[in-house]
Amino acid sequence: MASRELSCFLCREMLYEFQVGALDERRRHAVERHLSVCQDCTRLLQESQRAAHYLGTLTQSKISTKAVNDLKGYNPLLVHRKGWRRLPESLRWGLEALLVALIIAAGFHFGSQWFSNREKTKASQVVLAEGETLPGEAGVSNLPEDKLADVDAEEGLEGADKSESGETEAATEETPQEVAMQAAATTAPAPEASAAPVETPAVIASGTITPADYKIPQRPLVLALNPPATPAAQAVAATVPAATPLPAPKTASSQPAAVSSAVPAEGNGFVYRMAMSVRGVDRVTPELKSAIEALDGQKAGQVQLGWKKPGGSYFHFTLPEANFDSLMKDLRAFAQVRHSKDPHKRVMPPGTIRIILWVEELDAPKSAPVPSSAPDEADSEAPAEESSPEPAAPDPSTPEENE
Amino acid sequence: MSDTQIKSVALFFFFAFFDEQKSLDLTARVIRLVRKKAKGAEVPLEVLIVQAAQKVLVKEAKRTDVAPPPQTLQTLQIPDETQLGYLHALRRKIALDEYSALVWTHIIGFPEPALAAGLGSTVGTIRHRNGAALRTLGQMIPPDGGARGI
Repeated sequence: MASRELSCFLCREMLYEFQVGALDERRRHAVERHLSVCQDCTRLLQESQRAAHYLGTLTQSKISTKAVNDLKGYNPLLVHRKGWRRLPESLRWGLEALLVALIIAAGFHFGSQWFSNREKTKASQVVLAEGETLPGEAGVSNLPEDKLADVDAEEGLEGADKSESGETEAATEETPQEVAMQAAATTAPAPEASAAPVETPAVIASGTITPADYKIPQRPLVLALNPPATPAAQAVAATVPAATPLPAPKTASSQPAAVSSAVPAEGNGFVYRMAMSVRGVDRVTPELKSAIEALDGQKAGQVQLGWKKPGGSYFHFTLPEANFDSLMKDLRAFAQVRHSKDPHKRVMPPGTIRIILWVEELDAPKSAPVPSSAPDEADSEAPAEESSPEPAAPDPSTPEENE
Repeated sequence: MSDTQIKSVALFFFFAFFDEQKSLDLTARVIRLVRKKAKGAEVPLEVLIVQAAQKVLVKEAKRTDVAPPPQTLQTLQIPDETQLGYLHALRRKIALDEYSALVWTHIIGFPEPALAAGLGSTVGTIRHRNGAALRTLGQMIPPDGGARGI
Protein backbone atom coordinates (compact mmCIF):
# COMPACT_ATOMS: atom_id res chain seq x y z
CA MET A 1 0.00 0.00 0.00
CA ALA A 2 1.52 3.28 -1.15
CA SER A 3 1.76 5.97 1.50
CA ARG A 4 -0.07 9.20 0.87
CA GLU A 5 1.77 12.52 0.82
CA LEU A 6 1.35 14.53 4.00
CA SER A 7 -0.04 17.99 3.92
CA CYS A 8 1.75 20.76 5.82
CA PHE A 9 -1.05 20.80 8.39
CA LEU A 10 -0.66 17.14 9.20
CA CYS A 11 3.10 17.40 9.16
CA ARG A 12 3.05 20.25 11.68
CA GLU A 13 0.63 18.31 13.88
CA MET A 14 3.10 15.46 14.00
CA LEU A 15 6.19 17.61 14.02
CA TYR A 16 6.57 17.63 17.82
CA GLU A 17 6.16 13.87 18.04
CA PHE A 18 8.60 13.51 15.19
CA GLN A 19 11.01 15.71 17.09
CA VAL A 20 10.81 13.69 20.30
CA GLY A 21 10.78 10.38 18.42
CA ALA A 22 7.31 9.39 19.42
CA LEU A 23 6.10 8.53 15.89
CA ASP A 24 5.91 5.07 14.55
CA GLU A 25 8.05 4.04 11.60
CA ARG A 26 5.48 4.67 8.92
CA ARG A 27 4.52 8.18 10.06
CA ARG A 28 8.11 9.11 10.71
CA HIS A 29 8.99 8.28 7.08
CA ALA A 30 6.03 10.26 5.88
CA VAL A 31 7.13 13.31 7.87
CA GLU A 32 10.68 12.96 6.65
CA ARG A 33 9.51 12.89 3.08
CA HIS A 34 7.41 15.99 3.61
CA LEU A 35 10.21 17.86 5.34
CA SER A 36 12.52 17.13 2.44
CA VAL A 37 10.26 19.01 0.07
CA CYS A 38 8.71 21.67 2.40
CA GLN A 39 10.89 24.57 3.50
CA ASP A 40 8.35 26.01 5.91
CA CYS A 41 7.91 22.84 7.85
CA THR A 42 11.67 22.37 7.93
CA ARG A 43 12.03 25.84 9.37
CA LEU A 44 9.41 25.09 11.99
CA LEU A 45 11.27 21.98 12.94
CA GLN A 46 14.48 23.88 13.31
CA GLU A 47 12.76 26.44 15.50
CA SER A 48 11.33 23.73 17.67
CA GLN A 49 14.70 22.09 17.97
CA ARG A 50 16.22 25.43 18.91
CA ALA A 51 13.57 25.93 21.57
CA ALA A 52 14.10 22.43 22.87
CA HIS A 53 17.81 23.09 23.08
CA TYR A 54 17.14 26.27 24.96
CA LEU A 55 14.93 24.46 27.41
CA GLY A 56 17.51 21.74 27.71
CA THR A 57 19.95 24.20 29.19
CA LEU A 58 17.42 25.07 31.84
CA THR A 59 17.23 21.49 32.99
CA GLN A 60 20.60 22.05 34.61
CA SER A 61 19.03 24.50 37.00
CA LYS A 62 19.59 23.59 40.61
CA ILE A 63 18.26 24.51 43.95
CA SER A 64 20.33 24.67 47.08
CA THR A 65 20.16 21.78 49.48
CA LYS A 66 19.52 24.14 52.33
CA ALA A 67 16.40 25.43 50.65
CA VAL A 68 15.20 21.90 50.07
CA ASN A 69 15.83 21.00 53.67
CA ASP A 70 14.02 24.11 54.76
CA LEU A 71 11.10 23.14 52.62
CA LYS A 72 11.08 19.65 54.00
CA GLY A 73 10.93 20.98 57.51
CA TYR A 74 8.62 23.73 56.55
CA ASN A 75 5.73 24.27 58.87
CA PRO A 76 3.03 25.78 56.75
CA LEU A 77 0.66 26.18 59.65
CA LEU A 78 2.13 29.42 60.81
CA VAL A 79 2.31 30.99 57.41
CA HIS A 80 -0.45 29.63 55.32
CA ARG A 81 -3.09 28.82 57.81
CA LYS A 82 -2.88 32.36 58.98
CA GLY A 83 -2.79 33.47 55.40
CA TRP A 84 -0.27 36.13 56.22
CA ARG A 85 1.75 35.81 53.07
CA ARG A 86 -1.36 35.72 50.98
CA LEU A 87 -2.25 39.20 52.03
CA PRO A 88 -1.30 42.03 49.71
CA GLU A 89 2.06 43.49 50.48
CA SER A 90 0.66 46.94 51.15
CA LEU A 91 -1.75 45.50 53.68
CA ARG A 92 1.03 43.55 55.35
CA TRP A 93 3.16 46.67 55.59
CA GLY A 94 0.25 48.57 57.01
CA LEU A 95 -0.45 45.98 59.63
CA GLU A 96 3.18 45.78 60.60
CA ALA A 97 3.40 49.56 60.86
CA LEU A 98 0.28 49.57 62.96
CA LEU A 99 1.76 46.97 65.28
CA VAL A 100 4.95 48.95 65.68
CA ALA A 101 2.96 52.11 66.35
CA LEU A 102 0.93 50.33 69.00
CA ILE A 103 4.07 49.06 70.68
CA ILE A 104 5.58 52.54 70.70
CA ALA A 105 2.38 54.06 72.02
CA ALA A 106 2.15 51.47 74.75
CA GLY A 107 5.76 52.05 75.69
CA PHE A 108 5.21 55.79 75.85
CA HIS A 109 2.06 55.35 77.89
CA PHE A 110 3.60 53.06 80.45
CA GLY A 111 6.78 55.09 80.49
CA SER A 112 4.89 58.25 81.34
CA GLN A 113 3.03 56.40 84.06
CA TRP A 114 6.30 55.18 85.44
CA PHE A 115 7.67 58.71 85.55
CA SER A 116 4.55 60.05 87.19
CA ASN A 117 4.70 57.33 89.81
CA ARG A 118 8.29 58.18 90.37
CA GLU A 119 7.37 61.80 90.97
CA LYS A 120 4.67 60.72 93.36
CA THR A 121 7.16 58.62 95.22
CA LYS A 122 9.44 61.57 95.58
CA ALA A 123 6.57 63.68 96.84
CA SER A 124 5.61 61.05 99.34
CA GLN A 125 9.13 60.99 100.64
CA VAL A 126 8.93 64.70 101.29
CA VAL A 127 5.66 64.24 103.02
CA LEU A 128 6.99 61.43 105.13
CA ALA A 129 9.52 63.69 106.74
CA GLU A 130 6.90 66.24 107.55
CA GLY A 131 4.07 63.90 108.26
CA GLU A 132 2.39 63.07 111.47
CA THR A 133 0.01 60.66 112.98
CA LEU A 134 -3.18 62.08 114.32
CA PRO A 135 -5.12 59.44 116.18
CA GLY A 136 -8.78 60.13 115.85
CA GLU A 137 -8.24 62.96 113.40
CA ALA A 138 -9.30 62.85 109.82
CA GLY A 139 -6.57 65.01 108.42
CA VAL A 140 -4.16 67.80 108.89
CA SER A 141 -6.66 70.49 108.24
CA ASN A 142 -8.43 69.74 111.51
CA LEU A 143 -5.31 70.26 113.54
CA PRO A 144 -4.41 73.62 115.04
CA GLU A 145 -1.80 75.15 112.88
CA ASP A 146 0.71 75.66 115.62
CA LYS A 147 0.49 71.97 116.32
CA LEU A 148 1.93 71.31 112.93
CA ALA A 149 4.90 73.44 113.78
CA ASP A 150 5.32 71.67 117.05
CA VAL A 151 5.94 68.47 115.24
CA ASP A 152 9.14 69.71 113.78
CA ALA A 153 10.54 70.81 117.07
CA GLU A 154 9.63 67.56 118.62
CA GLU A 155 11.58 65.65 116.03
CA GLY A 156 14.66 67.49 116.99
CA LEU A 157 14.04 67.19 120.63
CA GLU A 158 13.71 63.47 120.46
CA GLY A 159 16.68 62.99 118.26
CA ALA A 160 18.80 65.36 120.21
CA ASP A 161 17.97 63.92 123.52
CA LYS A 162 19.18 60.55 122.40
CA SER A 163 22.62 61.94 122.10
CA GLU A 164 22.46 63.43 125.50
CA SER A 165 23.72 61.68 128.53
CA GLY A 166 22.58 61.53 132.08
CA GLU A 167 19.72 63.77 132.86
CA THR A 168 18.67 64.31 129.27
CA GLU A 169 17.98 60.67 128.75
CA ALA A 170 14.83 61.09 130.72
CA ALA A 171 13.58 63.48 128.11
CA THR A 172 14.19 60.85 125.47
CA GLU A 173 11.60 58.66 127.07
CA GLU A 174 9.04 61.41 126.99
CA THR A 175 6.47 61.63 124.30
CA PRO A 176 5.97 64.95 122.57
CA GLN A 177 2.83 65.52 124.51
CA GLU A 178 4.72 65.03 127.72
CA VAL A 179 7.31 67.50 126.61
CA ALA A 180 4.67 70.01 125.88
CA MET A 181 3.03 69.43 129.21
CA GLN A 182 6.30 69.80 130.97
CA ALA A 183 6.93 73.04 129.22
CA ALA A 184 3.45 74.20 130.09
CA ALA A 185 4.07 73.47 133.72
CA THR A 186 7.20 75.56 133.87
CA THR A 187 5.97 78.48 131.82
CA ALA A 188 2.67 79.92 130.84
CA PRO A 189 -0.18 77.46 130.47
CA ALA A 190 -0.49 76.22 126.95
CA PRO A 191 -3.79 75.14 125.53
CA GLU A 192 -1.99 72.98 123.03
CA ALA A 193 -0.79 70.70 125.80
CA SER A 194 -4.24 69.26 126.18
CA ALA A 195 -4.78 68.84 122.51
CA ALA A 196 -4.63 65.58 120.66
CA PRO A 197 -1.27 63.86 120.88
CA VAL A 198 1.05 64.34 117.99
CA GLU A 199 3.42 61.62 117.01
CA THR A 200 6.37 62.21 114.84
CA PRO A 201 8.98 60.21 112.97
CA ALA A 202 11.09 60.42 116.05
CA VAL A 203 8.35 58.66 117.87
CA ILE A 204 8.42 56.03 115.20
CA ALA A 205 12.02 55.45 115.95
CA SER A 206 11.34 55.14 119.62
CA GLY A 207 8.80 52.43 118.93
CA THR A 208 5.64 54.27 119.86
CA ILE A 209 4.07 53.65 116.49
CA THR A 210 5.00 51.72 113.45
CA PRO A 211 5.69 53.24 110.08
CA ALA A 212 2.51 51.65 108.83
CA ASP A 213 0.53 53.77 111.24
CA TYR A 214 2.28 56.87 110.16
CA LYS A 215 -0.25 59.12 108.53
CA ILE A 216 0.74 61.27 105.62
CA PRO A 217 -0.95 64.64 105.52
CA GLN A 218 -2.93 65.39 102.45
CA ARG A 219 -1.47 68.83 101.81
CA PRO A 220 1.77 68.99 103.70
CA LEU A 221 3.71 70.93 101.12
CA VAL A 222 1.01 73.49 100.79
CA LEU A 223 0.98 73.99 104.48
CA ALA A 224 4.71 74.25 104.67
CA LEU A 225 5.39 76.43 101.67
CA ASN A 226 2.26 78.54 101.52
CA PRO A 227 0.86 78.85 105.00
CA PRO A 228 -2.05 81.15 105.74
CA ALA A 229 -1.28 84.70 106.62
CA THR A 230 -2.80 84.51 110.06
CA PRO A 231 -0.51 84.92 113.04
CA ALA A 232 -1.23 81.43 114.20
CA ALA A 233 -0.22 80.11 110.84
CA GLN A 234 3.15 81.73 111.19
CA ALA A 235 4.08 78.99 113.52
CA VAL A 236 3.28 76.37 110.98
CA ALA A 237 6.10 74.29 109.63
CA ALA A 238 8.70 75.74 111.90
CA THR A 239 11.64 73.60 112.69
CA VAL A 240 14.87 73.95 114.57
CA PRO A 241 17.88 73.20 112.48
CA ALA A 242 21.36 73.12 113.82
CA ALA A 243 22.36 76.54 115.00
CA THR A 244 25.52 78.22 113.98
CA PRO A 245 26.89 79.19 117.34
CA LEU A 246 25.19 76.50 119.31
CA PRO A 247 26.92 73.21 119.79
CA ALA A 248 25.06 70.32 118.34
CA PRO A 249 26.93 67.10 118.67
CA LYS A 250 25.33 64.83 116.20
CA THR A 251 25.77 61.14 116.08
CA ALA A 252 24.33 58.51 113.88
CA SER A 253 22.19 57.26 116.68
CA SER A 254 20.71 60.66 117.34
CA GLN A 255 18.88 60.65 114.00
CA PRO A 256 16.33 57.94 113.43
CA ALA A 257 16.97 56.03 110.28
CA ALA A 258 13.38 56.30 109.17
CA VAL A 259 13.60 60.04 109.31
CA SER A 260 17.04 60.54 107.93
CA SER A 261 16.19 58.49 104.88
CA ALA A 262 13.37 60.82 104.01
CA VAL A 263 14.88 64.26 104.30
CA PRO A 264 12.80 66.72 102.32
CA ALA A 265 14.24 68.90 99.69
CA GLU A 266 15.52 72.28 100.77
CA GLY A 267 13.52 75.42 100.23
CA ASN A 268 14.71 78.99 100.01
CA GLY A 269 13.81 79.99 103.50
CA PHE A 270 16.05 81.08 106.30
CA VAL A 271 16.22 81.18 110.05
CA TYR A 272 17.85 83.61 112.43
CA ARG A 273 20.04 81.93 115.00
CA MET A 274 20.91 83.91 118.04
CA ALA A 275 22.88 83.19 121.17
CA MET A 276 23.62 85.29 124.16
CA SER A 277 25.35 84.68 127.44
CA VAL A 278 23.86 86.17 130.54
CA ARG A 279 24.24 85.83 134.25
CA GLY A 280 21.17 84.43 135.93
CA VAL A 281 19.32 82.75 133.12
CA ASP A 282 16.40 81.93 135.34
CA ARG A 283 15.94 85.55 136.08
CA VAL A 284 16.37 86.81 132.56
CA THR A 285 14.20 84.20 130.83
CA PRO A 286 10.80 85.56 131.92
CA GLU A 287 11.88 89.05 130.95
CA LEU A 288 12.99 87.90 127.55
CA LYS A 289 9.75 86.03 127.08
CA SER A 290 7.77 89.12 127.90
CA ALA A 291 9.84 91.22 125.55
CA ILE A 292 9.31 88.76 122.73
CA GLU A 293 5.60 88.53 123.28
CA ALA A 294 5.38 92.28 123.44
CA LEU A 295 6.78 92.37 119.93
CA ASP A 296 4.12 89.94 118.72
CA GLY A 297 6.48 87.03 118.91
CA GLN A 298 4.79 83.65 118.68
CA LYS A 299 6.32 80.43 119.80
CA ALA A 300 7.29 78.06 117.04
CA GLY A 301 7.74 74.49 117.85
CA GLN A 302 6.53 72.23 120.56
CA VAL A 303 8.05 73.91 123.53
CA GLN A 304 7.13 77.18 125.10
CA LEU A 305 9.23 80.25 124.95
CA GLY A 306 12.08 80.07 127.38
CA TRP A 307 12.12 76.33 127.67
CA LYS A 308 14.58 75.56 130.35
CA LYS A 309 17.41 73.33 129.38
CA PRO A 310 20.54 72.43 131.28
CA GLY A 311 22.76 75.42 131.03
CA GLY A 312 20.30 77.84 129.53
CA SER A 313 16.94 78.66 128.02
CA TYR A 314 15.65 77.97 124.58
CA PHE A 315 13.48 80.32 122.54
CA HIS A 316 12.05 79.31 119.23
CA PHE A 317 9.56 81.79 117.90
CA THR A 318 8.31 83.71 114.94
CA LEU A 319 8.31 87.46 114.76
CA PRO A 320 7.05 90.12 112.39
CA GLU A 321 9.99 91.20 110.39
CA ALA A 322 9.30 94.84 111.18
CA ASN A 323 9.94 94.16 114.85
CA PHE A 324 13.33 92.59 114.34
CA ASP A 325 15.26 95.73 115.12
CA SER A 326 13.23 96.30 118.22
CA LEU A 327 13.90 92.78 119.32
CA MET A 328 17.62 93.18 118.83
CA LYS A 329 17.52 96.35 120.78
CA ASP A 330 15.71 94.65 123.64
CA LEU A 331 18.03 91.68 123.61
CA ARG A 332 21.14 93.82 123.68
CA ALA A 333 19.82 95.39 126.83
CA PHE A 334 20.51 92.06 128.48
CA ALA A 335 23.76 91.01 126.89
CA GLN A 336 25.70 90.91 123.69
CA VAL A 337 23.86 88.98 121.04
CA ARG A 338 25.50 86.79 118.45
CA HIS A 339 23.23 86.07 115.56
CA SER A 340 23.37 84.85 112.03
CA LYS A 341 20.93 84.40 109.19
CA ASP A 342 21.17 80.88 107.89
CA PRO A 343 19.40 79.32 104.93
CA HIS A 344 16.81 76.76 105.80
CA LYS A 345 14.31 74.63 104.01
CA ARG A 346 11.40 76.25 105.77
CA VAL A 347 9.90 79.19 103.98
CA MET A 348 8.07 81.59 106.21
CA PRO A 349 5.23 83.82 105.09
CA PRO A 350 6.21 87.23 103.79
CA GLY A 351 6.90 89.66 106.60
CA THR A 352 7.55 86.95 109.14
CA ILE A 353 10.86 85.60 110.30
CA ARG A 354 11.75 82.69 112.48
CA ILE A 355 14.25 83.00 115.26
CA ILE A 356 16.01 80.50 117.44
CA LEU A 357 17.48 82.08 120.49
CA TRP A 358 19.69 80.30 122.95
CA VAL A 359 20.35 82.02 126.24
CA GLU A 360 23.13 80.38 128.13
CA GLU A 361 24.40 80.80 131.59
CA LEU A 362 27.58 82.76 131.50
CA ASP A 363 29.17 80.83 134.32
CA ALA A 364 28.24 77.41 133.02
CA PRO A 365 31.01 75.15 131.81
CA LYS A 366 31.44 75.38 128.09
CA SER A 367 31.93 72.70 125.55
CA ALA A 368 33.58 72.81 122.23
CA PRO A 369 31.57 74.70 119.63
CA VAL A 370 30.28 73.08 116.54
CA PRO A 371 31.12 74.65 113.24
CA SER A 372 28.20 76.53 111.87
CA SER A 373 28.83 75.42 108.36
CA ALA A 374 28.22 71.75 108.94
CA PRO A 375 26.34 70.73 105.84
CA ASP A 376 24.35 67.98 107.43
CA GLU A 377 22.94 70.30 109.99
CA ALA A 378 21.34 72.48 107.42
CA ASP A 379 19.30 69.56 106.19
CA SER A 380 18.75 67.87 109.42
CA GLU A 381 15.81 68.40 111.59
CA ALA A 382 16.40 71.30 113.81
CA PRO A 383 16.50 70.13 117.30
CA ALA A 384 19.98 68.86 117.02
CA GLU A 385 21.05 71.96 118.88
CA GLU A 386 18.66 71.07 121.57
CA SER A 387 20.79 68.17 122.49
CA SER A 388 23.59 70.42 123.45
CA PRO A 389 22.57 72.80 126.11
CA GLU A 390 25.88 74.54 126.09
CA PRO A 391 26.36 76.83 123.17
CA ALA A 392 29.65 77.96 121.88
CA ALA A 393 31.42 80.78 123.48
CA PRO A 394 31.41 84.07 121.65
CA ASP A 395 34.23 84.40 119.26
CA PRO A 396 36.02 87.63 120.08
CA SER A 397 37.98 87.54 116.90
CA THR A 398 34.90 87.89 114.70
CA PRO A 399 32.40 89.94 116.59
CA GLU A 400 31.21 91.74 113.48
CA GLU A 401 30.31 88.56 111.75
CA ASN A 402 27.44 87.86 114.02
CA GLU A 403 26.51 91.38 114.59
CA MET B 1 8.15 13.75 48.93
CA SER B 2 11.74 13.21 47.93
CA ASP B 3 14.30 15.94 47.54
CA THR B 4 14.16 15.59 43.77
CA GLN B 5 10.43 16.06 43.74
CA ILE B 6 10.66 19.07 46.00
CA LYS B 7 13.33 20.51 43.78
CA SER B 8 11.16 19.89 40.70
CA VAL B 9 8.21 21.68 42.22
CA ALA B 10 10.34 24.60 43.31
CA LEU B 11 11.80 24.97 39.81
CA PHE B 12 8.39 24.69 38.25
CA PHE B 13 7.05 27.58 40.32
CA PHE B 14 10.14 29.60 39.72
CA PHE B 15 9.77 29.33 35.96
CA ALA B 16 6.09 30.00 36.35
CA PHE B 17 6.40 33.24 38.31
CA PHE B 18 10.12 34.10 38.14
CA ASP B 19 10.04 34.86 41.85
CA GLU B 20 12.41 32.93 44.03
CA GLN B 21 10.69 33.49 47.35
CA LYS B 22 7.28 32.92 45.89
CA SER B 23 8.44 29.67 44.38
CA LEU B 24 9.54 28.46 47.81
CA ASP B 25 6.31 29.52 49.41
CA LEU B 26 4.21 27.87 46.74
CA THR B 27 6.31 24.75 46.97
CA ALA B 28 5.59 24.63 50.66
CA ARG B 29 1.92 24.85 49.91
CA VAL B 30 2.21 22.02 47.40
CA ILE B 31 4.05 19.92 49.95
CA ARG B 32 1.28 20.50 52.42
CA LEU B 33 -1.38 19.57 49.90
CA VAL B 34 0.46 16.47 48.78
CA ARG B 35 1.02 15.32 52.35
CA LYS B 36 -2.60 15.86 53.03
CA LYS B 37 -3.82 13.94 49.98
CA ALA B 38 -1.23 11.22 50.10
CA LYS B 39 -2.73 9.70 53.23
CA GLY B 40 -4.57 6.60 52.11
CA ALA B 41 -4.61 7.62 48.45
CA GLU B 42 -3.83 5.09 45.74
CA VAL B 43 -2.88 7.75 43.22
CA PRO B 44 0.83 7.84 42.44
CA LEU B 45 2.72 10.52 44.25
CA GLU B 46 3.85 12.14 41.00
CA VAL B 47 0.28 12.59 39.92
CA LEU B 48 -0.59 14.11 43.26
CA ILE B 49 2.31 16.47 42.91
CA VAL B 50 1.17 17.64 39.50
CA GLN B 51 -2.37 18.04 40.68
CA ALA B 52 -1.41 20.05 43.68
CA ALA B 53 1.05 22.16 41.71
CA GLN B 54 -1.48 22.90 39.02
CA LYS B 55 -4.07 23.85 41.59
CA VAL B 56 -1.70 26.21 43.33
CA LEU B 57 -0.48 27.56 40.00
CA VAL B 58 -3.91 28.43 38.73
CA LYS B 59 -4.91 29.99 42.00
CA GLU B 60 -1.78 32.04 42.31
CA ALA B 61 -1.80 33.08 38.66
CA LYS B 62 -5.17 34.69 39.18
CA ARG B 63 -3.84 36.58 42.17
CA THR B 64 -0.47 37.84 41.08
CA ASP B 65 1.30 38.73 37.89
CA VAL B 66 4.55 37.38 36.60
CA ALA B 67 7.56 39.10 38.00
CA PRO B 68 10.40 40.26 35.76
CA PRO B 69 13.32 37.86 35.49
CA PRO B 70 15.54 38.20 38.55
CA GLN B 71 19.10 39.38 38.13
CA THR B 72 20.47 37.49 41.09
CA LEU B 73 19.37 34.33 42.74
CA GLN B 74 20.08 33.00 46.19
CA THR B 75 18.67 29.51 46.43
CA LEU B 76 18.42 28.68 42.73
CA GLN B 77 21.24 28.25 40.27
CA ILE B 78 20.51 28.90 36.62
CA PRO B 79 23.19 28.07 34.02
CA ASP B 80 25.17 31.14 33.12
CA GLU B 81 24.63 30.90 29.37
CA THR B 82 20.88 30.84 29.77
CA GLN B 83 18.83 33.94 29.32
CA LEU B 84 15.51 33.83 31.07
CA GLY B 85 14.09 36.56 28.89
CA TYR B 86 12.83 34.14 26.21
CA LEU B 87 11.08 31.99 28.74
CA HIS B 88 9.66 35.00 30.48
CA ALA B 89 8.28 36.28 27.22
CA LEU B 90 6.83 32.92 26.44
CA ARG B 91 5.13 32.80 29.82
CA ARG B 92 3.37 36.02 29.01
CA LYS B 93 2.49 35.03 25.49
CA ILE B 94 1.01 31.55 25.56
CA ALA B 95 -1.69 29.95 27.65
CA LEU B 96 -0.89 28.75 31.10
CA ASP B 97 -1.75 25.15 30.25
CA GLU B 98 0.70 25.10 27.38
CA TYR B 99 3.36 26.78 29.38
CA SER B 100 3.03 24.50 32.40
CA ALA B 101 3.09 21.43 30.16
CA LEU B 102 6.24 22.70 28.49
CA VAL B 103 7.97 23.38 31.81
CA TRP B 104 6.98 20.07 33.31
CA THR B 105 8.10 18.16 30.31
CA HIS B 106 11.14 19.91 28.94
CA ILE B 107 12.62 21.61 32.00
CA ILE B 108 11.61 19.44 34.88
CA GLY B 109 11.68 16.26 32.84
CA PHE B 110 8.46 14.93 34.20
CA PRO B 111 7.00 11.89 32.42
CA GLU B 112 4.14 12.73 30.13
CA PRO B 113 1.73 10.03 31.38
CA ALA B 114 2.00 11.27 34.96
CA LEU B 115 1.66 14.80 33.75
CA ALA B 116 -1.38 13.95 31.71
CA ALA B 117 -2.94 12.15 34.64
CA GLY B 118 -2.19 15.02 36.91
CA LEU B 119 -3.62 17.59 34.55
CA GLY B 120 -6.62 15.46 33.77
CA SER B 121 -5.86 15.20 30.08
CA THR B 122 -4.33 12.78 27.64
CA VAL B 123 -0.78 12.34 26.56
CA GLY B 124 -1.73 13.56 23.11
CA THR B 125 -3.03 16.77 24.58
CA ILE B 126 0.18 17.26 26.46
CA ARG B 127 2.19 16.68 23.31
CA HIS B 128 0.02 19.05 21.35
CA ARG B 129 0.50 21.75 23.98
CA ASN B 130 4.19 21.11 24.03
CA GLY B 131 4.45 21.31 20.26
CA ALA B 132 2.59 24.57 20.12
CA ALA B 133 4.64 26.04 22.94
CA LEU B 134 7.88 24.94 21.37
CA ARG B 135 7.02 26.46 18.03
CA THR B 136 6.17 29.76 19.71
CA LEU B 137 9.35 29.71 21.70
CA GLY B 138 11.37 28.78 18.66
CA GLN B 139 10.08 31.80 16.83
CA MET B 140 11.36 34.01 19.66
CA ILE B 141 14.85 32.63 19.73
CA PRO B 142 17.04 33.89 16.87
CA PRO B 143 18.79 31.33 14.64
CA ASP B 144 22.16 32.03 16.19
CA GLY B 145 20.81 31.30 19.61
CA GLY B 146 20.86 34.95 20.60
CA ALA B 147 24.67 34.94 20.86
CA ARG B 148 24.55 31.89 23.03
CA GLY B 149 21.52 33.27 24.64
CA ILE B 150 20.07 29.86 24.90
